[in-house]
Amino acid sequence: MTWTWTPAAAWVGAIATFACLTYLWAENPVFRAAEHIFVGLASGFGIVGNWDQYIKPTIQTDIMKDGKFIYFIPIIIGLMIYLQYFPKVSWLARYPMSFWVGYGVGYTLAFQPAVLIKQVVDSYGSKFAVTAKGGGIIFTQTLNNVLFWVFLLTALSYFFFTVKRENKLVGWPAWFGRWVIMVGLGAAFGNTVMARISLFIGRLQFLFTYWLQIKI
Amino acid sequence: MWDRLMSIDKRVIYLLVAIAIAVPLIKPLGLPLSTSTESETAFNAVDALKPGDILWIGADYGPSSAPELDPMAVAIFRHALKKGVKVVVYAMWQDGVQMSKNWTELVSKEVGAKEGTDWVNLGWKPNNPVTLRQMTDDLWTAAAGVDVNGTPLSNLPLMERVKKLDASSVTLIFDLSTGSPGTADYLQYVSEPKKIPMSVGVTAVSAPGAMPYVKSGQYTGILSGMRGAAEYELLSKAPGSAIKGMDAQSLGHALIILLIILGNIGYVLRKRA
Repeated sequence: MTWTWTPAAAWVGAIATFACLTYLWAENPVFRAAEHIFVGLASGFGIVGNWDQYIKPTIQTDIMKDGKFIYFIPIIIGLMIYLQYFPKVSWLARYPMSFWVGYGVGYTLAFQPAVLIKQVVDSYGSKFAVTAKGGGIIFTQTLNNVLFWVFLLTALSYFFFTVKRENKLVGWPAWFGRWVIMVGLGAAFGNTVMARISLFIGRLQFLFTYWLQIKI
Repeated sequence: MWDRLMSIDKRVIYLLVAIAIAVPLIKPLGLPLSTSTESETAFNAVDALKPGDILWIGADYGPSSAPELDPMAVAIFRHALKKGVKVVVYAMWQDGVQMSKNWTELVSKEVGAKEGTDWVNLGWKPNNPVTLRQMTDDLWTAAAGVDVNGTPLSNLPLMERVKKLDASSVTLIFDLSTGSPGTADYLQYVSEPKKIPMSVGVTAVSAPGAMPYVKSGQYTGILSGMRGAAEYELLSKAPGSAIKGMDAQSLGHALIILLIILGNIGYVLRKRA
């Protein structure tokens, strides 16, 4: 069902918004109450979602209707995690955990390299950008690529600790690399500011449109 | 004077920022908005889809990033449906269920698209990205055989064409993501191994981390934050809440830049004194 902002819902939303914003003044009980309500709601939402979107249909369709009783094996292995609450057999809880860790590590090792290798190849590949017909070099793009290469190598050299910084071969690139990193972090901070302002705009749009009912 | 400027109460700054953002929302200034190459590339990827092609939209976010990602979702979903492109929506974030329900039902009503035939919302399934990976082998089993409303996938004609999440059924992935699980998982477990082109829409915070993948061609364009959403709205000629928020965004930034400059001048002058 599509969510609609009834006046009562808009009031609840507005009160929750102001309760959160009171934190800007100082930590206070109103903010803490809003925080606790949110955590409780999110937990409840998670449990209902798990049941409604996956567990219930899996039992109804896969197990009861299609007779995939093999699913009981992973269900039993999964439930073994709760044996940690019974001291005599708590060692059995390690099995689902070790299975989970082993699967996770193998899974990542199998898929990660393809993504990273492409990044490495792109970083150190040809720096000359040519036109679509292959006739000439696109100067601005090529310059951009070369600058990227310089920034990458100098930023990496900042983390090269084997040779002392007094060595000019490492010292200057590392000094420049430090500036490159700071510029990068500054750009990332600018993006963070933009994101936070966007969130505030979203709240104001809600307050104006649905609570105060001002047409914006 | 500089000393006083250096010790402004932070609550005064909050108030100034709030005013700078609120005023242009009520009284827009109409500042010009240009589009970036990255946004244009992402827009063109959707625009190049043919009627009948299947677009997979990942709704991997919650209410905390709705102001940035909801406008993107609305614009992309509307753009695709108007072109006759079929859409499958899937959320790796549990909150993404309600988020995607809002815009799928709102836009499909506006465009006159039919659920089950023109679009399907698979909702959220737990244990991602393992479930996502399983979808590349057997989507129906991974999705527990039902969509977001509990309707069996066998009752949804569109899903007859989507038995697996691979290039034979899905033409383009457009993932809207706040973090993890999100774009990186789609790239790693679906886009790269299954050779499905992928565009992304991310929060402004996540954009610097995603940019290397755009430059390497692993992402076909990127929409970054509310600005990216506004650019997509502009390109698809359907102004929405993102464009409305851009004046406020610009004024808020201008004020923050001004405060940073004043703060730095104050710091230097005080040091000299």
